[in-house]
Amino acid sequence: MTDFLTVCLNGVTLAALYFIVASGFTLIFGLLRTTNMAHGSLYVLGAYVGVSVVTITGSWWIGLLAGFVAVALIGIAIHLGLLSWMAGQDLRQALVTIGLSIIIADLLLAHYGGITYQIPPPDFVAGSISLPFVVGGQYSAYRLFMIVIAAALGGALWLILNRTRVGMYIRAGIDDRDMLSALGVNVSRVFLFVFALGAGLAGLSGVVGATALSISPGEDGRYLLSSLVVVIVGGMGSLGGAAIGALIIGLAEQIGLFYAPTYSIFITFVIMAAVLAVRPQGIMGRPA
Amino acid sequence: MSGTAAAAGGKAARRWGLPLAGIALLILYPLVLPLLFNANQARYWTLSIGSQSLILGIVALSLIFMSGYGGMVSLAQAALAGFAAYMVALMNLLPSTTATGGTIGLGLPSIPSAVIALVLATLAGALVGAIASRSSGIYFLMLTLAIAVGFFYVVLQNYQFLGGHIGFAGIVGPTGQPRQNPIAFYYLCLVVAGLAYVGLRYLVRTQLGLTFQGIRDNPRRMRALGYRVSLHRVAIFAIGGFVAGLSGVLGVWYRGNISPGVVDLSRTIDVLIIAVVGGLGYPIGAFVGAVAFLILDIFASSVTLFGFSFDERFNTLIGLAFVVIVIVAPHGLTGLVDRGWRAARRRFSSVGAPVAAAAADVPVENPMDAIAAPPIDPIDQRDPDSMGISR
Repeated sequence: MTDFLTVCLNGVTLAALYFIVASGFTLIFGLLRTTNMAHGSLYVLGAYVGVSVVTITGSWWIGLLAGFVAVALIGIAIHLGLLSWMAGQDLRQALVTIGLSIIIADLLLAHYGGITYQIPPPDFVAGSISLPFVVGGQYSAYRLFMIVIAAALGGALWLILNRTRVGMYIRAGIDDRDMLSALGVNVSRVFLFVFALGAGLAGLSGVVGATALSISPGEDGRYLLSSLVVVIVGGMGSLGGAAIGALIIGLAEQIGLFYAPTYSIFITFVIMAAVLAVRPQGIMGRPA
Repeated sequence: MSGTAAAAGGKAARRWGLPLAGIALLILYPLVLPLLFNANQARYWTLSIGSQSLILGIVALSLIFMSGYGGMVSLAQAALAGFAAYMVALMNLLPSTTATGGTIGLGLPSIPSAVIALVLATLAGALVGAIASRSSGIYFLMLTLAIAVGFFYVVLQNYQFLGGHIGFAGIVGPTGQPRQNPIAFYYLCLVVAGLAYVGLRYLVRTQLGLTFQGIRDNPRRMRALGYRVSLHRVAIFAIGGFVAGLSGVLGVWYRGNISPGVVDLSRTIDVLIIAVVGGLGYPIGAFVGAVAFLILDIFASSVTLFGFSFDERFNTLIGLAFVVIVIVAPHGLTGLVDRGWRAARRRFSSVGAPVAAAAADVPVENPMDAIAAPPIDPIDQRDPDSMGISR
């Protein structure tokens, strides 16, 4: 029983990470209809920025902020320089971001090499907490802290989307871009904001993930995959869907890894196929 | 397509001149090489450039077929090719026991192994299609990518039957080791590529092929006409799986081994790059793109841009090239040549003769245009009247 509870807790903490990664992806897709195939590479970029900044400053929080800001700025450059010129051409945008992901991954490999890095967690969650129901009675405090981060981020995004003027524009833009533009809102600036936010979230999640697990070249594919599966299962463009999808996939992955190690990825894909068979638009997705 | 009787002869020469010259070049290619280079270099150009671009071209051809005639840009093709390669290995290798206790290998000869692998690849393609054809447009791209990356993790994790991160080695094709008999292997690749190309070009003119294109242009109308749209999409996928499987079989014979590295994310993207660089709207673009990709691969080491050497940064170079192509030439290299050729002919032809048939390759609908236009639900709500316009 403690095995199962530990595995579930691992699943939930992994889900927290997956949610943070996928939230940026789904946000960008929801409004801009841009499939940012470079999302995994932006995650890795944020992680490496975090590694460098934490090494220099010694502060995890500054690293987290740096990961967010640096990747958000890169996102602004990508959006202004490339994607905004091909608005509405989603295949072309997807292809360009695939090209970018190759370049980013390769340049990061050139600069950081093939070594595995890990960011030390902030002091107050550095050790472990005693939990009675897990294996060994101890559990990593940082992994539990990830749930707090995910909940805080989810709450903040919900507040931005539902309680601010920008959020109102974003929701209106998801429903009808042209009408929003006709009402005098500078839609392209809203788009830019959302793209920067989504990219920044990828960078931030990189720092969070590199602290919990580790970061090395090739991780971009893993997080692009998890983002894709999470939003396919949960529903494109929906924050709630991303949360549900992340929970399902995180739990399935950890339970699968424990009970059927060489087949765990199958379980993920059976879930994806099953969801698509019943609801092609995903659990929380709206029919296209 | 009308022309005077006098012009007909010249037209036929123009229609067939370029393809025939291309075929002659492909057949003579490995025979001419020994005259130009020493034995090692000739083998290198026969295998590493010739055979490999044919192998990569076939898998890119499957993607171009699916996107051009089915309206589905599938990123699962490299994985399907890898699946066929794994199946060849499992059929072909002598029975043995893996470290984790699974028994693998049937010890079949190479040709039956390939046939079984192709049947299984076709079925796997159909299965991917059954899952993926539930979605459309850009969702489809994501879904097939997820399936491809998932397959990579499956073979990476599974030591019991799929060899884990090591994979399998010691697979020999019907022509023996390619390094010992490069010319025979080249011709094997050429024949398979030629049959795949001609077969697909024939298929799209049959009623089934026309149905595929009807579904690509307007699935709703086809559904209303009584066609089973999702079944046809599965069929397109099965065909795509078969063609990708051909590439996988040749690929495993070429390398002699198979490992997860052959189906990883970068290989998946390589296939997409080849198809896009060659030209998504042109079947021949698959091979043009493959040659361009390999040439770039070889010469990347000697490229220096703004003092930045690409010696070890091939991926940066290919990524840049890819982004530039997508931005400035969405129809790929073949599209550039085709359009330039037509513009030149229009300028220099004496009368306004129809020039559409002059190109070596008839362009199909470029999905880059199709998916580009409507911002919401690109496939299902595509221009309802597009069926009325003949292409």
